[in-house]
Amino acid sequence: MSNQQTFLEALEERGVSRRSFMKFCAITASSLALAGTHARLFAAALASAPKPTVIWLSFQQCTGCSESILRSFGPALSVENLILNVISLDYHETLQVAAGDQAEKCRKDAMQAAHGSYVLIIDGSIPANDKEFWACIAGNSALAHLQEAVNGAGLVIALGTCAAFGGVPAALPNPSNAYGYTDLLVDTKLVVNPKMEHKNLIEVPMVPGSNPPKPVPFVNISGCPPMATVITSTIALYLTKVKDLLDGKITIDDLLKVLDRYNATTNPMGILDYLYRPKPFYGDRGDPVVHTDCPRFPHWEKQEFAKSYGDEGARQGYCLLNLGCRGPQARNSCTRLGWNTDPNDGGLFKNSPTHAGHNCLGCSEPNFWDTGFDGGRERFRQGFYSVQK
Amino acid sequence: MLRLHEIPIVVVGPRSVQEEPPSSPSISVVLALLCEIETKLSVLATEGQDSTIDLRWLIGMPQEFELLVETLGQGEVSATVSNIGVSVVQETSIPCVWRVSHRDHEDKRLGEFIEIAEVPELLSSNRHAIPQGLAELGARRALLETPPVFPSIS
Repeated sequence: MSNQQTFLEALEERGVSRRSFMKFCAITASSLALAGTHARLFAAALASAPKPTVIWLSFQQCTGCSESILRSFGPALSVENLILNVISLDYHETLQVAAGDQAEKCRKDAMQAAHGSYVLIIDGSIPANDKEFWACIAGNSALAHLQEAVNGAGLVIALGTCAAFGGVPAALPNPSNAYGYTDLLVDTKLVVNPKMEHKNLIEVPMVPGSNPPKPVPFVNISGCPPMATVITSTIALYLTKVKDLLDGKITIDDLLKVLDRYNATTNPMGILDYLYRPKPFYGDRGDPVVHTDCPRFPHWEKQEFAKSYGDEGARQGYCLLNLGCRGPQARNSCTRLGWNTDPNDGGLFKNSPTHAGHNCLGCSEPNFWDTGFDGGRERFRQGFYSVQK
Repeated sequence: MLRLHEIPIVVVGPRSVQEEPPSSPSISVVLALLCEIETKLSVLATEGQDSTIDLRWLIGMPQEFELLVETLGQGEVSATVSNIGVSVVQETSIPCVWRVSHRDHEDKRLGEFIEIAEVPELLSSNRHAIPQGLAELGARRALLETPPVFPSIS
């Protein structure tokens, strides 16, 4: 299938009707908190957007991000996974059949064919400096692979907390000197973790042919794992803008005017928070969205707290703050959108760690493995072990 | 303190929060929405511009949602669109105000919208697809016009 097809044409070829596409656009625009007029523009732009090529590079990761995105709770074709059915996933080490030199050739060919416009998804952290070769692919370091890939990308998505901020591999003592994508970029304004060494890493990639040079936009979609809806909506939003940006029909300023609800950043997406995550899903700085969307929030308001895991209060939905819950510090969509939602109650039931009875770990935040239990570490242990007495 | 295996199992419903006595719906929320509908309806009347109101935040307020539905009333037209699940388009008793409800294959609610338009876009057919339709129609007509061939009886 030619990659010159538009997104709508690719869908229609798969038997997806125009009305199904309109439904997808309405739901996706709603999840992106786009207002009525913008939602219609979004649908029109997405219809004519080119079918995207996606290159997926995996580094130090557990495959949880792939599992989250590629598994669907529903049937093969649903609103949630519609966009994943039409992207051209030209390289994904876990899913692809090709291996060895054949796989590498496929990757290079795909990158060349879509140079400047492919979506590069990276999951897993990247070892650097003296530990650069702790992760190697096809004889080259992960860092070298990343540098090559970002130079031709139209959008870089750092998927999952490992790719965004370092995640599990970067937890103390960080034996592999693992970095997230944001901290690899040699631009101190973009640094998330100032304690890490930022020398001799990768250069900020520029959009090929851009004049003046524009940095390749990137988005952090953090979470351990991240939520599928966030990734598909982010790709959809990017598709509506990339063609116009690359064709020079609109400038970054034009884009920012369209999305003037959101703060301007150096990033052409224009809707990112200070950690480069999409605000519609992660809220803005100071918004304790995991906490306020939590089903146990009404009990927090009444100051009703569980004393141990599984006690009567916990089962009645009492707040888990005294057990080390990081909900008030975490920003994510899990409590709002829910995992594995129950279809039988009209979507009101939102499954999330706190709903299941475990405190939030703050998995979408930087360094959560090291700071996730600070101050609550003893409470967490006591809350768990007290059940055993 | 009980040991883990001694804690009795209690099965609770989907809502672990104890149900409080039902309170009255917030009138102000519904009034605000009605004002927005009025404004957008006026724009449609004077400028001919369709618009949409996203009710996703109202889904979590079932009493207010029901009050809005009750206030808008029901019109003559109700349509079901089969598209990656089902979408229900319901005309309200207010001309050019429609309710659109999107659900997936398992009837999970995906979105609720108010459409202010003569006809919601979801119900319109695609004029640009007419050439393909004509071709398909021609093929089916040809099939009807071709007389059936019966084997000869010898």
